[in-house]
Order: sequence, then structure tokens, then C-alpha cells
Amino acid sequence: MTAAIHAREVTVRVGDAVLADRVTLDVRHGELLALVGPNGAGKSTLLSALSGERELAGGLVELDGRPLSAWQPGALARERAVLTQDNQVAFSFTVREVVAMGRSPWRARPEADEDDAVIAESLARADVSHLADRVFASLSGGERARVSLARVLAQRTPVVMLDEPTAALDIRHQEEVFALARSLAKSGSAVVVVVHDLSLAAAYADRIAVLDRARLAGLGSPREVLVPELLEPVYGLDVRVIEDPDTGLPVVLPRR
Amino acid sequence: MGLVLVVVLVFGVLLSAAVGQLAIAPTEVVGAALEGMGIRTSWAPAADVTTQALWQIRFPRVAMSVLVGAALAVAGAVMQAIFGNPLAEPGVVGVSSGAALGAALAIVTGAALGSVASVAAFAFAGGVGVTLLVYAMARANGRTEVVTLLLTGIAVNAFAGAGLALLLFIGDSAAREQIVFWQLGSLNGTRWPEVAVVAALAAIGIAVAVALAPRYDLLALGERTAAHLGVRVERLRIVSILVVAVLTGAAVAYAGIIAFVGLVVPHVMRLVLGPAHRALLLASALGGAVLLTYADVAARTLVGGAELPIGLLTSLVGGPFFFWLLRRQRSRSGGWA
Repeated sequence: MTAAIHAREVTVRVGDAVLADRVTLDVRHGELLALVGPNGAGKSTLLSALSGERELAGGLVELDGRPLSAWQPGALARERAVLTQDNQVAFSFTVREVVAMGRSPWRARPEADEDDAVIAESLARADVSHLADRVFASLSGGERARVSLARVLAQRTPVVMLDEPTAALDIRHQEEVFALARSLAKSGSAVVVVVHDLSLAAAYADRIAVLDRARLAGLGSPREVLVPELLEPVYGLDVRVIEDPDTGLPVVLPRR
Repeated sequence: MGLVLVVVLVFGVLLSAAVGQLAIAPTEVVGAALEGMGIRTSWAPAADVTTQALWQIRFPRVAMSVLVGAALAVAGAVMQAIFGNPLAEPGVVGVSSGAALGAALAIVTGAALGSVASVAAFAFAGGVGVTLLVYAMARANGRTEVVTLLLTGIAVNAFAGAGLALLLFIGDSAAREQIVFWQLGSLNGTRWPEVAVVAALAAIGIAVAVALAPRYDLLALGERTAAHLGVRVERLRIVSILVVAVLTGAAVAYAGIIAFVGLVVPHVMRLVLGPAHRALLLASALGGAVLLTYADVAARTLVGGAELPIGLLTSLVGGPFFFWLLRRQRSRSGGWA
């Protein structure tokens, strides 16, 4: 079966700096892949290379078996949705209007008939239905993040890329967002999430990719990757990995 | 809202055609308009001179005020959409003065030779040039900072002002008179061929802008997200800049610098209708037409026996409004965002 995202030897350069260095990975449909690594390791850069936003200096990214360059912008927007880190909205658009913009790639297609239902469902899944008539610019950081996530959900794409969706969220909403990402994967989407919290990644991701200075330092299941031998040199920090008593999944703690 | 604007506009058009040195009853205005279209009614003016005054002087002028107002307001709304900033406006950032400089150049160098089309072409070139300049200068990392935008506007306006002054200096007295007319802005002496040119350009510009409206909405999410939603951002920008230049150039070429219409009208419409661009652009076109029609009535009637330049009037109202908008924008974003 073709991978949803196939990245081979992906290299990104800005000037002399190499921001992604020959990264090779696949993301399958029905899988949640977490991208982790220290600040500046190149997580967001890799995500923007996978989404087609950034030009590659070398290598290849294929979406559903077709190179990114062969996709028309409209078709690409019906195939993959992207949540960027910084979400601002100019002018006083309401939350409902912002989420409705997620439906725009489907305009003038049969799927557009479901717009209202999809928008309502997306608002509910991101827990922002009560904010629907508020103006986006008046929301708190966490609320904006969830509304933007609702917009991504409304896009209804088989591939979903989220860049630190939980950065501004409290722990309940962090859990809810990852549970949501998990359920997207369960329903067949390929989901890539950039995240800092290793224990959160361990609890919800099928596989974790660890980036270290633009390179892939490890790729595998949480149990395989989240081990002190791999993490300590990457983060430059002594860590303790314990098992969650309920799930048996790894929990990463700094040694203090 | 649209209906209210249409009613207000129709009333304004009748008023504008009725008032002046020769007072004409509104019924006679309607009668003359119908007569011109080949429909004879009992409302038609008894005197031929009335009909002639209306068709040769008043009607083209009223039509021009409607077209110029609509074009300037839509140009402002489009500019705000692509800059993601409610303070962007052709007059403020210098597009209008760039277009006027182009037109003045055509007059002084004799390239125009009185030809309506070539003055318009020069004004258009000036408008496009300045729009591209502002676009290149005021953007950094995919967004526009207010400070950069306004400073760019100051620089552009200063340069265009100097250019106009130089042309005044070297031009003969006839050319000087024409240039002064541009700087003040006036609808006086509008003729039908000029109306036709502006009508064609305004129709094209407004139609393209309205067709692009859904994409302007997505642009409000930021250009990265807009691109992820399938918008070809760079192409959209370039087409939009051409639209702004066409609309502003067309308006300025014959009516001179009429500033702040593109700032005030879209802003008021946004307050009433919300920011969604399809409704906003259509309402701005109507609102701009309304504003300029009434401004023209005021320009002709405020001072007895003389006519105020309409550009003076709009700036008199628009300047303080811009100041208020600036203060509000600053207090909202907690600084110069």
C-alpha cells in the first residue's frame, strides 16, 4: 500500500544553514506520527517541507504516491490540511467564519453540500461551539489554537499536519487535542504532529521521529525511541524514563 | 443594507442633478433622463435648454461622481485585503499622487495633446509604478507593518509632490492650471467620453475584485494558511495590485486626487456588514458612489456662487477619520503592530 506521505532524503537549506538533512520517513494512512526534538532541531521546517510549503534543496516528498510538485494547489488543499504555529486573523472575522474558511477547497463540489454539518461538527470536536459567534481576534491564545484546529478539521483531508497544536493549551485541552488527533488517525487519516511534550507523544503517537540538528536521530514506536541512550545526547540532558502504571507507555522525566 | 444604499444613491443622484446655478425640479430630471433614452413623459422639461444642461453638464458629472466613488472605495477595500491592514488606502500610501504625477507628466510633456486616453494611460502607469513600489517596500516576512506602510506613504507622497512641483515649474500656464486641477480634485467639466473610459475601467476592476472576494477572506488567515487552503497567494497579490492601480488610475486621471474615500467607506461598511469580502466590496462600491455623489452636491452648494474642490472636502472629513482609526488601531494592538 502507498504511504500517505513518503519523504526520501529530504534536504532544506536557507542560505548556508541546513535545516533538514537527508531525512527519510513514511507516514501511513491510519497512523499518528509525532515529530519531536529540541528547539531549532528542524521540526517545523520538516513539516513545512512535507506540506509543500518549502522548496527542497534535495530529495523528494510524495503525497499518495505523487510528488508534491505534481499537485495543483486546490487538489493539494483537499488532500492535506496544515495547522501552523502562529494563527492570527486580520479583520473581525467570527469563529464560525474562520472555521467555514476550512471548507473553501471544497467550494463548487458535491462535498460542499455538507458544509454546514461539517462546520458544526468541527466546532464541537475542537470544543469551541460556544465561541462560534465571537470575533476571533478577541479570543485567548488557547481558544485561538482550538478554533484554528477546528478550521483544519473542517477541511476534511486524508492527511493532517499539526505544528505544535498544544503549545498554548492547558492539560485537559492538550489531552483532548491529542485524543482528537488519535481519532483522526483511527478513522484512516495520516496525522503528523510536532510536539514538545515527550510523554504526550508517547501516550498518543503510533511512532515518534526524533530530530537532532536537522537530522533524524531516531524513528520508531514510543518504546523503541524514548530511551535515555537516544534522548540524552539529543537534548543534552539526563532523563529518566519510567512506565505509566496504567498504560505501560513510557513517561520521560528530567533527572533532577 | 444594499437596498438602503441604493435608495440613498438614487436620491443623491436626483439631488445632484437638480441643484446648481440653474435649479431644476427632480421630476424634470427624471423626465429628461427618460427622454434621453427615447421615452417621452409629461415630466420632460418644457425648455430645451434645461434638457441640454442636464445631458451635457449635469448627467456626465453625476455619472462620474458615482463611478469615481465606487472605484476608489473598492480600490481601498482591495488594498486593505491584500495588506491585511485596515489602514491601507491608495491615497494614504501614495498611489493617487503617483497617478496624478503620471498624468501631470503627460500634460506638461505634451504627450497627451488633450487626448483623454493618453492622460489616463500615464496616470495608470504612475499608479501601477507606485503600487508596485509600495508593495515591494512595505512588506517584510509576508506581512505589512503599519509603520512601514505609512512611512512608505510619506516618502512616496513627498516624492510625487516634488515631481508635481517640478512639473508646475517647467510647465506653461495652461499646463499649470490643469495640474492644479489634479491636485485639488474636481468633477467639474466632465464629458461623456471620459465617463465612458472610467466606466469601462471601473467595471473591469470591480468585477475582478468581486470575483476574487472569497480568496481575500482566506488571506485574512495569513498568507501561509491561505496557501495551505489552495490560494496562489503571489498571483492573487499581483492581480489585486493591478486592480487597485486600474481603479485608482481611472479615478484620478479625470477627477484628480480625491483622498480617503477608500479608507472611510470600506471601514464603515466593515463595521456594519462584517469583514466578509464579497458583501464588503459590493457595499463599498455603492457606499463610495453615495459618498462622492453627496460630496459633489456639497462642493457645489456650500459656498454660494463658487465651487469647492471635492478633493478638499473628502480630505477635510477623511483626515480626522484616519487619525481616529490610527488611534483605535494602536490602542487595540497595544502598540504599533
